[in-house]
Amino acid sequence: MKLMEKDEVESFIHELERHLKAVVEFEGLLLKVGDERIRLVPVEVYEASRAFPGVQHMGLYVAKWRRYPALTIEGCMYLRSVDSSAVVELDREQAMKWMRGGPVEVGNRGRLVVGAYKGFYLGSAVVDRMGRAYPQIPKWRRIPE
Amino acid sequence: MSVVISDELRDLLLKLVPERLDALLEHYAKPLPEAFRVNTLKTSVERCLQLLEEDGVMPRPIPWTRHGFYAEPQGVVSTSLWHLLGLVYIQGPVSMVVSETLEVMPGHRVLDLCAAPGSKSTHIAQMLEGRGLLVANDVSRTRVKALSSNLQRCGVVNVVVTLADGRWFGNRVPNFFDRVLVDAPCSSLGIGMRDWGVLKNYSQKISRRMSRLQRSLIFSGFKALRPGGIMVYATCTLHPLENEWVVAGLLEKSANASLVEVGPLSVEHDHGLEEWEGIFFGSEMRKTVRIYPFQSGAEGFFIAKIRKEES
Repeated sequence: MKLMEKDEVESFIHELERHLKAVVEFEGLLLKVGDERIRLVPVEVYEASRAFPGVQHMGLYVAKWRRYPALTIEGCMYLRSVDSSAVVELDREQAMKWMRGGPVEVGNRGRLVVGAYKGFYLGSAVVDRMGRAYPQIPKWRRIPE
Repeated sequence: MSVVISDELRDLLLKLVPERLDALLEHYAKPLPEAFRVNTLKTSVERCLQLLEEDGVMPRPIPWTRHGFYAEPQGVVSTSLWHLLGLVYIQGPVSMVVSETLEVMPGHRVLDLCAAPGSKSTHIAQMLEGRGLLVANDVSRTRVKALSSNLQRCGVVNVVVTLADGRWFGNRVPNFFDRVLVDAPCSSLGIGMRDWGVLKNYSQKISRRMSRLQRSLIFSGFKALRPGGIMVYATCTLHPLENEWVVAGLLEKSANASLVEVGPLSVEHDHGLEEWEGIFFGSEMRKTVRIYPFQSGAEGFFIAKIRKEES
């Protein structure tokens, strides 16, 4: 777990906002876990954690940053305004498919979209050239096939 | 099929609840009612109930909790999308009382010493409303994984997950937390309906072994508590050696520990025992509560609320 540098945070948020045409407000520090995972942790929690034995992790897993930044379901809680073109409104069947890991047909959109069902964000997905969205749902969280 | 209980358990229950033994056995034979808590970190109670009703769930409020509901028909909530998204948490109706007894306020620093799989930790996080600090500790690496998944699903940001032996935690961080929960591992006689094997294989030896561990945990938790802070000690078992005896040990050896009345509770309950087999715990122990399965219609729990005096 390592604290992200200021310029790295700016670059990450810029990438997110560029792809999703959104405002993202992470209130706290961003930590990088391994090469890709990003966790959000309040400053007070981060500082206090130094005193505790056996720290496994802290804060909330909000995103994965590979070629494109991908928001987790909880990471979407920090989206403040998203351009409607980047949001895919899903029906029940599509939402279930999304939560199974997809792919879900979303048509021609940007490379990154956010899925939404009944007003709740289901995390982001990378869209291929055929208009299929591949949601970034971790395996433990997927609905079993 | 009827429940088979060990001879030692029968002896214990005959001493503990002689007139209510049949009622207890009857409840052991029934499955626990499915109950859930609305996770207000992610949604409002009204919105959540509306979504569940659209899925055919008929939620019925649990009278003694703030955000708890019985779910009917059974099995729908736990397999719903809303559960997966963390809008609800499947939790026993009496288990919710334990975290509510802790009286957590936003901004508090809270330690859950034996936190996995996270039902009470996520409940505490909900009461913290994203402010303050929650340290969720457990000694088992496997169980910490389940704990982490549940905290993530519920959207808890102000948390540190630790993997440490709870018996030593207090030495590392003394006088630090405003609230400490010691939901100690136990012989699980209060939730025997979940696993009849517990009832069939029970022996007093299990309670004696558990009580030594529980004593170490309660002392550690108390050490981590700041003066003026509140600790809740709870188990889901019935044996006095794992409950009153553990609390009495702390009160005896810590001059700055005092019991606080649990409640008022609207769930039917008994007071803690003042005496068991010639061991006197004192009249103070009446401030603790025993909730039996035949009183709650669900799990059985023992709950003690302890304050650390200022000096």
